[in-house]
Amino acid sequence: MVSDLASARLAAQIGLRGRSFPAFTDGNITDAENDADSVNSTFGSRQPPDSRSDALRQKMLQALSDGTSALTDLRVAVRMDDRAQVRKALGEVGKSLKTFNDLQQELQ
Amino acid sequence: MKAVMSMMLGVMTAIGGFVDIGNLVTSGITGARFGMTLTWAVLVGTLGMALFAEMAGRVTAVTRKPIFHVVRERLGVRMSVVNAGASTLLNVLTLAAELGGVSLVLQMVTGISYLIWVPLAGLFAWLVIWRMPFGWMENIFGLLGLGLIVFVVALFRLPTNWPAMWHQAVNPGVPAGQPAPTWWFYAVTLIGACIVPYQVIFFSSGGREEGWTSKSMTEMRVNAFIGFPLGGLLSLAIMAAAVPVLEPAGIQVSHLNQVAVPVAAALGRAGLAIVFVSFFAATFAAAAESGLSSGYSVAQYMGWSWGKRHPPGAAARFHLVCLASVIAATAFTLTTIDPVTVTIFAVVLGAAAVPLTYFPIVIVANDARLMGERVNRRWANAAGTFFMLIMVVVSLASLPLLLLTKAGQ
Repeated sequence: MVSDLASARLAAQIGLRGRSFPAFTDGNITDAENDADSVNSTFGSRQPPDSRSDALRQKMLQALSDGTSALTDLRVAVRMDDRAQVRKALGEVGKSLKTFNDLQQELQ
Repeated sequence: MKAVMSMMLGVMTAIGGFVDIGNLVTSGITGARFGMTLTWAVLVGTLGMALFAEMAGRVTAVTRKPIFHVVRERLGVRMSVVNAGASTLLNVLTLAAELGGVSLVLQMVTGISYLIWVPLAGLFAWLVIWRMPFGWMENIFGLLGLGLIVFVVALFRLPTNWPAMWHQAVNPGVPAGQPAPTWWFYAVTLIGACIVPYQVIFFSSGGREEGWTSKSMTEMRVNAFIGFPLGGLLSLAIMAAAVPVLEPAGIQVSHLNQVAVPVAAALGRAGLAIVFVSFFAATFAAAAESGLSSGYSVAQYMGWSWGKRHPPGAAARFHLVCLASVIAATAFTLTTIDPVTVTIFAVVLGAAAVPLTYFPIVIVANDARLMGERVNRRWANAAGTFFMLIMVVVSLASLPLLLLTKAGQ
């Protein structure tokens, strides 16, 4: 998931600087969104072994859902060529990345 | 002067033609994930490829017979059927991966799903196999594939930490936090991507298409010993370009378009446009070559008339096998199996089958009755044995690693 978010963010940033073609930027973000969606649904279908794990599962599901939504918003903004919305969605993607990094540190 | 120009053209097409979807994908994945710690695998694969291509080319030039024909004569019909059968199946799987690669490049450019492009890519590949003269096919796509040099240029525009990359390259080891089996798995895929069987079949059969004789030995050796290693350097450049851009961001490559991102970051749209053209040329040339190699393998084993130097009507069964391979590969790609996954499986299975393809070449190149004064020298046998041992280890390790790591997860 971290890789998907980072990949979409990098592609969008390059696109914003005018260093990429729209179809290429869109393709990178769409791939990241599809992969994130797949992670989201795979993780959501897992059965937690106990109630403590269930709490973690809920936390993780929320983060995955937020991350996938941020990528969808980014993809929509890029396809509409709305630079302000792209910047806003990039902020959400950045927040999601931070959430995952925090979760990673919490689990270590 | 004409001979020098011809040799230079041969080297340039060998460089451009060396890289295919397997190199693009595996170099991108490993650079982003392991830095330059797997440089050695590209070097091993490239040197092995150059060595065995030279042997196969020498056999073809001296005997004036294609490699499968000589292998069948030397090893017998039953032994060589395993060799021809495995090569043909691998060629079709590789062709499927290459057609997927061509379609992914067209998706990158147009935004239209790669599945729409697959039948068109298959049709275009078959038309090139059927109608385009051999020299044109080799030169046009080989030279366009040279555009991959843009990755080298990008390295100088990116914040590349040269000393750190050099340190990783000369001190190979599993990077911290990465599982060792996965690192080894990708070492196998890098070797497999460099030493794919279709390239040797195409190289030696292409020699017959171009009428190589004992006098062509220098040209053939320059192609094998200079062209292919320089092609290997392009693979390393693709790997290296991922290191300053993708690795620090924690991006793991799972799609072909991610491999192009470092060039966009460094050189913008102009660089990206060159990447599109060179990716297309590299994957399309490899599609045509692997399709042709299927025809070469079967027709040479069966003793049929073969090759693009004959009009299609005079080598009808050869062209029929090529067409059947293109149809089978197109159908396989249309099953919607991810082309990058197909590529990983193709290079791993290719690595597993390497001894089967290359061992007969060593035997034939050692046959003094066939080869006369061009029989393998001691150094060639020593190097051939050394690389064959490596290939046997790679072959034995490939499938367990594939299963253990779930194809590099």
